[in-house]
Amino acid sequence: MNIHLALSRFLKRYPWRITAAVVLGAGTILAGIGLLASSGYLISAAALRPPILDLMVIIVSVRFFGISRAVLRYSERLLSHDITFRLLLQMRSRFFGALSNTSASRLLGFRSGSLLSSITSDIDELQNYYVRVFTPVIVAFLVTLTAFFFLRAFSPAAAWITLAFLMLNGVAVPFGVRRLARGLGASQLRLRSELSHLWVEHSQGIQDIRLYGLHNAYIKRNEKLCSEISRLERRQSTVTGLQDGLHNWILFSAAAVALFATAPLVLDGALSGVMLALVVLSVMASFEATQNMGTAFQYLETTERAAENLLSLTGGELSFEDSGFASRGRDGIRSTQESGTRNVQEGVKSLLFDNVSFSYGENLVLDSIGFDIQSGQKAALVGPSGSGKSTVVNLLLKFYEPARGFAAIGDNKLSDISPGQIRSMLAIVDQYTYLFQDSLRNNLKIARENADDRDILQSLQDAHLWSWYQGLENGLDTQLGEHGKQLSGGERQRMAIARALLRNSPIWILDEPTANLDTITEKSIVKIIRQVTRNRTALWITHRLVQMEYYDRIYVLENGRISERGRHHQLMRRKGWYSDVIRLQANMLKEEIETA
Amino acid sequence: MTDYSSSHKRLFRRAFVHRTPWVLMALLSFLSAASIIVLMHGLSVAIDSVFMQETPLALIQPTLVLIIGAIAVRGVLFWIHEILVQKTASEIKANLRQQLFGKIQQLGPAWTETQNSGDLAATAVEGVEKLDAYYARFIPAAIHMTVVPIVIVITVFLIDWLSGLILLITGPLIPVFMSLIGMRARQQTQKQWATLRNLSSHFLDAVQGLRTLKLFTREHRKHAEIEHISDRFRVSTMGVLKIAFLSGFVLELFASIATALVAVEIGVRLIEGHIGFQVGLFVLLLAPEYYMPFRMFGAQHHAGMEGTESAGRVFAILDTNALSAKVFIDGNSDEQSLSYSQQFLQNEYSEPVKSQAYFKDEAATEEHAGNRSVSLVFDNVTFTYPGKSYPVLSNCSFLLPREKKTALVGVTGSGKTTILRLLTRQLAPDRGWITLDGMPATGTDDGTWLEKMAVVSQTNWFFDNTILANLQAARPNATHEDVVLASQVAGAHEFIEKLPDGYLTRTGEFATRFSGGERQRISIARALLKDAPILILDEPSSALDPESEERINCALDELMVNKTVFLIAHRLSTVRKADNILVLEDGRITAQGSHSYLRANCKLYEQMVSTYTS
Repeated sequence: MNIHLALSRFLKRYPWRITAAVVLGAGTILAGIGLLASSGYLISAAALRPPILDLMVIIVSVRFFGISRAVLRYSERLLSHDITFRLLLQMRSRFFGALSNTSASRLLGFRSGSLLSSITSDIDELQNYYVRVFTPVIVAFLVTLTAFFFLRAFSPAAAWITLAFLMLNGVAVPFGVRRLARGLGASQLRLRSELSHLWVEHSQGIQDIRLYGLHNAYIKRNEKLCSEISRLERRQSTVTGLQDGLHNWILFSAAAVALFATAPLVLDGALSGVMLALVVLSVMASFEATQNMGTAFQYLETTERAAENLLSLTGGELSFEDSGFASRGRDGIRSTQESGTRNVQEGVKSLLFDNVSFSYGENLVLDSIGFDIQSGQKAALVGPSGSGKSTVVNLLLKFYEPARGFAAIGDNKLSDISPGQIRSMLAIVDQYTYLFQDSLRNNLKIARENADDRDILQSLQDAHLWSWYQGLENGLDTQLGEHGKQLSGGERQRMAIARALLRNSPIWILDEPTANLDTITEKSIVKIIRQVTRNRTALWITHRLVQMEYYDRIYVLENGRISERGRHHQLMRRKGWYSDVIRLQANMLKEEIETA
Repeated sequence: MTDYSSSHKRLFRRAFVHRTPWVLMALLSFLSAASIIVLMHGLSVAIDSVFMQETPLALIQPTLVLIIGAIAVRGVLFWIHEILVQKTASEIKANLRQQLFGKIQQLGPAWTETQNSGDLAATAVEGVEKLDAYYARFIPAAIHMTVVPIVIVITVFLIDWLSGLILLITGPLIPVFMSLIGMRARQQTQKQWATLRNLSSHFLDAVQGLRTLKLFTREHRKHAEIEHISDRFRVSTMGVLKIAFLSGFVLELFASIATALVAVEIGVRLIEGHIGFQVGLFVLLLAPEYYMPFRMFGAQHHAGMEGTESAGRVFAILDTNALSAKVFIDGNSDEQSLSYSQQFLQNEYSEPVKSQAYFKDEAATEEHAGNRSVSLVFDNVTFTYPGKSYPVLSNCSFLLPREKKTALVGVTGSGKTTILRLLTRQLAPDRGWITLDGMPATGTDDGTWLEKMAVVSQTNWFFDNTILANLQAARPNATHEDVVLASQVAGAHEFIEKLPDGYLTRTGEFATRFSGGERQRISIARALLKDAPILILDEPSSALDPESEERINCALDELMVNKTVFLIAHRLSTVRKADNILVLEDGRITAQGSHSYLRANCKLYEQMVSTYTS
């Protein structure tokens, strides 16, 4: 029920359009009643053979109803589709807004297949709420009332019968059918979402599917899902078919019963016989009002379910309440970024972690770690994989909040400033460089909106992407495909550097930026980064201990604790993880040189 | 335009593969027309009796029975019709989805990589779903529109020819006007469908890149962009609908005006006494029923067009030529693969086989096909990506000696990935031979070929399932102990056990829960379980810290015994273990030999080594 409240809040945005659409919708059906009623009256009156002039008014009204019906229907359809698309936009936008407020950890659990289904199915389902549920119900209500009072003027019996049959057709039957088909709509949505997920998984993982000989298993899964969907559709059709049948039964039964209830009035002389055909034809025409109530009830179920799905996807954070952003539009961008409680002074470049602890579930990932990186210093955070290095980054970016302790940039505790402010001071190069299905230009421009082509070309040159760029036929307008698949690992990382360069932040976080690169490329990229961060603060996070003399500070993170700290030569004097690994590497190198 | 009419034709042909359901539908339409005629006749007789003849109710009971009977039959007919229609449509849809799935498997990874997976899923799910409107609404409505008006117009002709003439003239005008308008709407519908597809993949992209967007505090800008694109979609769709609905308008107008015309014409003749009241009323009652099928068809027409548009996309995938996508075509006796190898024979065997590379053992090249000491042979392989003007590999030759380690080095873009794709049958060479244990790649099926290989790469995919299931995928009959053992060897056991659900932890999309090293270790465990004779390591240790790398190298040392190993690597610590190192430069093997040999004789190799050791 909350869902209806939530959905109708969307409708409140367009009160006049919606009122107009409802009036036009009811008008269309009433014009239909008018056309048949006046035609019935016309031929009945004509059967008594009056002078033709007596019938001129009714002849004109027959034509009037005929034309106005077409005009009303056309405008109603246009208007209600326009409203639907506006609502669709609102829903998409609100969904994305809610999702971008969701904490990062939950984003990892999402599957693109189910997200895709959410947006294209669930939201498409939701748009039906207005056209298929909301409007038909209001229109049916208005037309039923009008038809009732109209008929009562001629035959109270026919009026009551029509009312009863309309209620039967518009409420009782759909309600009963809905009970019969309970859960079918939801299961269909679920199956389609599963199918979509299967297809995404299949096309993205096809290489490993082939390698492990799983293609037949996937074909079977697809077959099974398809036939389950078919089975559900067939079950649903027995119900929808029943509804079609019942609609016919009720409509014509109402006409027949109304006829036999009104006949005595005519025979008694209480009602002029001229009106008999008018009454019967009006009864039949009025059933157009409840014609779509069956679908309304069906869509009620699917839209309810789709709304629930969307809610569960965002963990209940998709409040259909105005989150403030969507209505404020572009102005909202600025205010979100400025929502921090204090201003950050210029030129802050130092980083501080003070006794920070963090747990992922019950797992203590970081245990009272502390470090202090001064302006312009180059620091390295090293340690075996899985020791919690990435968590440090996520804490810095405020994707996570520390359980104890605090982190600060300059004099600003992270808890006091907004994520937007923090992220504008940091440039990140990590191994998960995401490239959008957009032009090369826009992929770089996300780092700095007002960058012009000269800045972008400069960043490409500085990131050593120049020769790659020159091979592109369409230059900056080149479209990078899904996840930038056409780019090699090295090119992707250079893209990340180009972005960071455009960002021009005082502090760089380098989270295993060369993890997937070949030696030559790695060297050149490390060189570039060191060059461009000369006057900046840089925190390198790495598991490879190469050229460690470069760093002003080295922190060793082992099992969530900082076990060693100092410069390279200091750490080498201790007998710890650091010196062990350095020796290990040296041995490997030595072997190589010896073999050579 | 031709695309549109061709997919229309193909949809239609696909529908009539099985004729029976459609014949049944026509029969049901005929019966429903008959029932409405009986029903309206009954009603007009009853009204006439009461109004004109003032017959007491008791005397018109037979008419009442007729009316009730007709109503009952009509309801049942509608019920059966709906069930039949949906069953037919469901079968066609399921069939199409399965065909598409098979086609995508045939085209394989090299093709899907060029596609957007969200787009593919949308085509299969929402795109095919749109065909429901075509098969379950549009075609049945077309059948209904063909049968019912004919039955009614004949009836009306028999009782009142003048009214029959009006119906006969106005009826056919409706489809004519509608198709005139529909033709204009069609082009625009195509545009709208493209926008819709763009919209959903754009949204998916935005959601997947949300982390990056947040890093650059761009999520609000993207948000605005989504709104902007949605709004553009609304405007463009409204443009289409203004035209598309015009056909509905014309239809409604014709039906209403024609009904009014019939009413007035009957009224005038009634005054003059040329026609009886009952006949007049009967015709008036039938007139809306005559136009009703046209209106129903008009209501489905738009949905039908949309179905045709999305069918275009579906057929485009089904039509993708496996040859032009340069993938293998399965099946030994396949005509295409035969002609393919013939073409290869003509191009290649007419020339003397002169390899660019110098093999250590000259004899090996001669008799490689049957040689037991050679596992895999690349002979003069040339490959050009579709749409590219220069080949990425040209006359590339090398061999992998059985149970030896061969490494492949080369700078980014030199063609290493292409070699991997050719080895794993993702792509078929333009020219040249690839043979595995004497079997040529052309004419062997994927299953036979790939079961001999295990691949560890940077891009290994994790199925959205538990870690255990991901590992068992490599060997379905593996016990829990086998899995744990393999994980221990790969150095994955420790961190897996630390996870909240251990081996039953689910992997998220792209396995983002794991660090690069962890992913790699799971991949290695998976390859260990597969235990295939050929092991392909695609830069296997690049994402590992020195400790894990050392540990895994030890594990790999053991694993590589008795295996033919192909290392595509840059880290010299792994390369130096190889028995033979191939240097790939500009699409061909320019040098090969041991580490020390290459340091002395290959400039590129020496350059790589010195960058690493400096």
